[in-house]
Amino acid sequence: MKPTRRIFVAGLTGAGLWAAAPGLASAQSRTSPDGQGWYRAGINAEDYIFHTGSQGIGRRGQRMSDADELRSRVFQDSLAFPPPEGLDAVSIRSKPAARPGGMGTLSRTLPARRFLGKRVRLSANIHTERAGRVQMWMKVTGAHDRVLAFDDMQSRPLRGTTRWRRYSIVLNVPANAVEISYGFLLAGSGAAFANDFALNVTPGTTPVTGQP
Amino acid sequence: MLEEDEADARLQALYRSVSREMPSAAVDMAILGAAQNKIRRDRAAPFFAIAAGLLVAVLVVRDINLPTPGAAPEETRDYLMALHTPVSGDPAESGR
Repeated sequence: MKPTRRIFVAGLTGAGLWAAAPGLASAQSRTSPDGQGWYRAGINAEDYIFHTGSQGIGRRGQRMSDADELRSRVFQDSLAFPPPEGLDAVSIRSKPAARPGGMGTLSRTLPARRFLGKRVRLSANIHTERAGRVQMWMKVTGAHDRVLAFDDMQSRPLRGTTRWRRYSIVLNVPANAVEISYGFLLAGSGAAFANDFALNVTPGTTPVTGQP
Repeated sequence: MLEEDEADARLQALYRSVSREMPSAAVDMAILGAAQNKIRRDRAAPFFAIAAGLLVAVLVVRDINLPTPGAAPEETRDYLMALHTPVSGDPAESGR
C-alpha cells in the first residue's frame, strides 16, 4: 500500500471512530450509568452516597494493581477492616443528615436464559460499619415482571459493624424466567461495603434460601 | 428528819432540772445530726454532679452513635419486588 493511501485509510478510520464515539458513549449511559452495570435506587436514595468501580476497572482479568486501586477508592474509609481479594467493589454510605426511613440499594439485572431450569447461587463479600440494616438480595422475574423467586436476607440481615464475610443467596430459576436482578442495600444510617459478586450454577442439593 | 427533807428537796430539784434539760438536749442532738447530714451532703454533692455529668455524656454519645432507623423490612421488600432496572450486567464479567 502506498504511503499516501495508508494515510487516507487511517484518516478515514479515525474519522469513523470519532463519529461513532458519542453514540457509543450514549449507549453506555443508557444501559449502565456507571459502566459496571450497577443502578442506584432506593427510598430517599438522595440521602445515600454510592460508589462503584469505574468502567474498565474491576473486570475479570484486570491486573491486581488495578484491583488494589479500586479497593482503595471505593473502600476509602474502611481501612480498619481490609477487604478480601476480589473485584467489582461497591459501597453505600448514608449522608450525615440522612432522614429516618430511608434505604439505598445498588441493583444489577441480567438475562436469565443462561440459568433456566437451574439452581443459582449469588455470593459476595460484605462488610458493614455502624449500619442500620444491610441485606443482599436476588430476584428472578418472568414475563410482565412477575416475581418467580425472591430472597432479600430479611430473616438474616447484617446490623451494626461486622467484619468481611462471604454471604450467599440460592434460588431456583424456573424455565419461564426472563431476568435475574440482584444487589445489596443499606437501610438507615451507616455504611456497607461489598466486593466480588458472583453468580454461579449450584447443585440441586444446595438448599434454597428464598421463596418459593 | 430535817436532813431527809433537805435531801429529798435536792433530789426533786435535780429531777426538775434534768426534765427541763432533756428536750433541749434532744433538740441539740437533732440540730447536730442535721448539720452532720448537711456536711455529708455537701461533701458528696460534687461526686453526684460528676456522676450525673458522666451519665449525660454517655447518653449523648450513645444517641450520636445510634443508627438512624431505615425503611421497615416489609417496605424494603415491597420496594425490591417492584423495582425494575434495565438489563445491564453479565455475571461472567462480574467477579469470579
